[in-house]
Amino acid sequence: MRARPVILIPFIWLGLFFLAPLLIVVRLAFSESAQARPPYRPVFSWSDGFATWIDKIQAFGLDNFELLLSEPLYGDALLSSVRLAALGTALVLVLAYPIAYAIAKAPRDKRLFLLTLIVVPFWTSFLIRIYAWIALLKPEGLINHMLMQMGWIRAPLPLFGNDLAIVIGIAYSYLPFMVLPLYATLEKLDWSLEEAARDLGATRMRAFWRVTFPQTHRGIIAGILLVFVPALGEFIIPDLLGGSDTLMIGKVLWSEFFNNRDWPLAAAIAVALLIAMAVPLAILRNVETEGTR
Amino acid sequence: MRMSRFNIVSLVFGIAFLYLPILLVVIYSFNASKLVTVWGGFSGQWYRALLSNKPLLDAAWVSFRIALVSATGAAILGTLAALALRRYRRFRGRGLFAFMLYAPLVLPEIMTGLSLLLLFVALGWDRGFWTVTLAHMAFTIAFVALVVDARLADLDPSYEEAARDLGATPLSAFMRVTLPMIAPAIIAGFLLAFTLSLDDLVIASFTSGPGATTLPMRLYGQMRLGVTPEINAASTVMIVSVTLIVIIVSWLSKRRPA
Amino acid sequence: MPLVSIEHVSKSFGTVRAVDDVSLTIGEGEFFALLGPSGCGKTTLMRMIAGFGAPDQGRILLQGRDLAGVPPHNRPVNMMFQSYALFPHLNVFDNVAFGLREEGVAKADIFARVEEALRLVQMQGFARRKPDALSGGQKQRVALARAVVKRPKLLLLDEPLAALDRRLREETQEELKRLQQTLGIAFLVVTHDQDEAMMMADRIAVMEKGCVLQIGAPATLYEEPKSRAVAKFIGDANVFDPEIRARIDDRALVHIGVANFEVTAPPGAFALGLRPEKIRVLEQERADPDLITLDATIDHILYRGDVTDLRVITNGLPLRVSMLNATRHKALRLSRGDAIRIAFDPADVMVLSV
Repeated sequence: MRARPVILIPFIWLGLFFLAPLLIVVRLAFSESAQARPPYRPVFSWSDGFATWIDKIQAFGLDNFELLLSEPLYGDALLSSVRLAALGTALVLVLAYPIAYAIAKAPRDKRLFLLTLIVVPFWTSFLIRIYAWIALLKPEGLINHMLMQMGWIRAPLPLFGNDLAIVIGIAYSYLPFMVLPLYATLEKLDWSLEEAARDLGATRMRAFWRVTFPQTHRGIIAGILLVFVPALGEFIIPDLLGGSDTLMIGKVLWSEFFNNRDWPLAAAIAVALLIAMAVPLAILRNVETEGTR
Repeated sequence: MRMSRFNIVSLVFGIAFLYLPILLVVIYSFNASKLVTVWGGFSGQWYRALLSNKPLLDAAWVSFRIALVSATGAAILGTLAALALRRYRRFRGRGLFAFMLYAPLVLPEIMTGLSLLLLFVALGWDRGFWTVTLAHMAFTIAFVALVVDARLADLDPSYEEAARDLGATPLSAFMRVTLPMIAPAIIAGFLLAFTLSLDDLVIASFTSGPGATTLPMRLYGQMRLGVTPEINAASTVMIVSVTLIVIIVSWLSKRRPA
Repeated sequence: MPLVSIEHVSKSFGTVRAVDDVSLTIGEGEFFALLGPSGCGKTTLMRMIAGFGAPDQGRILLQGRDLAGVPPHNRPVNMMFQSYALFPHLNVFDNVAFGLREEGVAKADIFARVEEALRLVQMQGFARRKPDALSGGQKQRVALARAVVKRPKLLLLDEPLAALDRRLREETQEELKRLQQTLGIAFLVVTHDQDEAMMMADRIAVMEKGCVLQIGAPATLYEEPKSRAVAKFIGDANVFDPEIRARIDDRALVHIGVANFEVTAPPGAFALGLRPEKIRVLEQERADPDLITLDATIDHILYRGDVTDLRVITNGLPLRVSMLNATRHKALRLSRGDAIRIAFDPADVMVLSV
C-alpha cells in the first residue's frame, strides 16, 4: 500500500509541534540556568561530540529539581494548586449535578436546547468571563455594594483577592466540563430502576441516593478529572481573581518565566506539573477503557 | 413528563449563575458612569472610545488575522488527522499519533505555550505573527479532529463505496461524496478553532513577539489595572461576535445530512 | 461462456473463513440469488465481485477476464446497497447522474439517460427531490435507477427488499423480476429470505458457513434437495434418520416409525425427508394401495387460513402435516387428541445426505 499523505502530514506536524517541544521542555528542565538570552545553556549540544555527552550525563543537572524540592515556595505552590483545584472541583460537582440531573429529566425535545444553553458561555472568552467576576467580587463590586445597600452587611465581605475567589472562578469556568459527562451518564440511565426503588418503599431522596447516584460514578469520575486536571495548571484565574500572596503552580511558572527569566526552572516546574497530572489522567484512562468494554 | 420543582429551580439557578456575570459586563458597557457599580444612565460613549483606541484596534486586527489563518490550517490538518485515525485502523505509531493529537485537550495552556516557545527559540525563529499562528494551530487541531471524527464515526461507509461502485476513483469519491457530507463538521471545527484562537491569552503571551500583541494580551494588560467600562465595551463586542458564531455552528450541525 | 465465473474463491477475516472454496457461474441475463442466513458469506462474496475486498484464493472472471486487481470503479458491475446509500447532499437526478458524470458522458446524454432510468422505475416526477424527502419504497427505486443507468453487465443487489414492509416487498419482487427481463441484465441478489429468492430467481445458490451447499432452480432445490441442511432451509421438512433393514445395490429397505418401504440411495449413511404437504390426511376414503398408511394422533393444530398445519404423533414419531383447506369445514372437524389416518407416497420421500 502507498505511503499515505493523510497519515504522514499530520504525523510530521504532531511530531514537530507536540512531541519535539515537550522533549525540549524536559531537556531544558535538566539544564543549568543562565541569564543570557535565550536564558538557558542546554546540557547537550551537537558540537560537543559524543565523549563530552557521556561526561554530561554523569553530571546530569538535577539542580533545578533540587531547587524545587529545597525551596518551600514550590512545594507549597503545588500543594496549594491541588487544594484549590480540588475545592473548585468539589464546588463544580455540587453545582453541576442538579443541573445535569434536571436536563436528563427534562422532556426529550428540550434537552439539546438546555445543554446548548449550558455550553454556550464556554464559547465566550475565558478572559472576559473571569473579568466579569472581578466586577462582582471586588470590595466595591456589585455583590458587596448590593448587600450594603440592603443593610445586610456594614463592611464589604472579603470575596476578592483570596482563595475563595479562585474557587468561585474555577467553579464558574469549568461548569460545562462537569455537566456534560454527568448528563451523558444520567441520560443513559434506566429511570424505571428509580421507580422500582420507590415502588419498593424508598422515598424520592432515598431512591436517588441508593439507586441513581451510585450508577453515575463513571460520569462523576470523568467530570472530576476533566475539571481537576486543567484547573491544576490554571494561570488566568489565580492571576486575576487571587491575591498577591496566592500560590498556584501555573502562576509560579509564569513568574519564573516572565519575571525572573529563569527558563530552566520554569521548565522544571512544567515537568513537575506534568507528573502531577499524570496520576489523575491514568485514572481517567482506566475509567474510559472500562467504559468501552 | 412534567419536571419537578427542584429540577426547575436547579436549572434556573444554574443558567442564572452562568449568564448573569456576562450579562452584567454587557449592561455596564452602556453605563454613562465610569464606576462599575453605579448606574449613571445609558451611553454609547465607551464604544466610541473603543473606536479611537488605536492599540486595541490594532490588537483586534492582529487577533483576527491570526485566528483566520490558524483556524484554516487547523481545519485542514485536523480533518486529515481525523481521517487518518478513522480510515486506517492499523498503522505504525497509531497509538502515538492519537496520543499526540488529543493530549493538548487536557494539557494546561501554560505548558503548551512554554514548550512551543522553546521550540521556536531552538529553531531560531523570530517570535511574532507566525509563531503565534503556528502555536494556535498546534493547540486547536485536536478540537477540529474531535468534531470531524464524530461526524466520520456516524458516516455510513456505503456512501463512499457506492460512489466507487458507480465509477468514481478514490479521490473523486472523497471529493464528491465524503467531503460534502463532512463539510458542516469541518466548518464547525474551523469556527471552534477560530474562537479558541481569538480567546487565547496564555499561549499567545509565550509565543508572541514585538508587533504581534493580540487582543486578549492587550485586554489582559488593561484588566490587571482594574475594571473599566471600555473593557466592558470591548468584551461585549467579543461576546456578540462569538454568540453569532455559535448560532451559525449550531445551525450548521442541525442541518447535518441524515 | 458464462457471464461470471467464480472459481474456488476463499476469503478469511482473521480466523473466520467467511467464504470457503466457492465455485459458481452466472449466465448472461440470468437472475441469480445467493441465499443463506446472515453471516453465511453471501455478502462477502458479492462485495468481492463488486471489488470491495479481494479473494485470498481463487479467481473471479467476468466474460472470461480475471477481475483481480481491477478497482471497483473500473468494473462493469453496479451494486444496489442494502441501505441504498443515496447521497443525501444530492437530489434524485444528481444521484442517478453520478455514475454517468464519472464516466464523462455528454451533458445531453446524461439528461436523456437519467430520465429514461427514472421512467423505468416510475420516478419521473421526483428528479428535484432530496433523498430525505422520499419514502422507503421511493428510495429503493431511485437506488435501482442509479445502479442500472450505467447499463452494467451485472447488477448486484444486497438485500434489496429488506428495508421495505411486507406488502411493498411482495409488489416489488414482481417489479424487480419484470425489470430484469426488460433490461436483459444479469441480476445477482443476496438475500436471507427464501420466499424472495424462490419467487424471483432463475437459480439459487444456498450458502451456509461460507460454503455453497447446493445450486439449482427453485423447484429443484425444493423437490430435490441434496442435503438435510438444504431441505430444512428451503421450505419445511420432516427429516428422519431411518433404520436400514436391507440393502441391494442402490436399493435400500428402510424403516421409520411403523412403516417399511424402499428407496433409492447411494452407499453410506443417509437421511430421509418428507415435505408436510406431501402427507395426506385421509377421511372416509380408502387409501390407494401404493400409499403407506399410518394411524396418528393430533397433538397440535395451527390454523393458517389456506392451510392447517398439524403436529401429529404416529407411534411415538412426531410429524408435521400440512393440510390444504380445500373445503370450507375441513379444519373445523379436527381437534386436538383426535385419532386420524394419514398417508404418503414413498416416491415423495427425498433421500438426503447427512
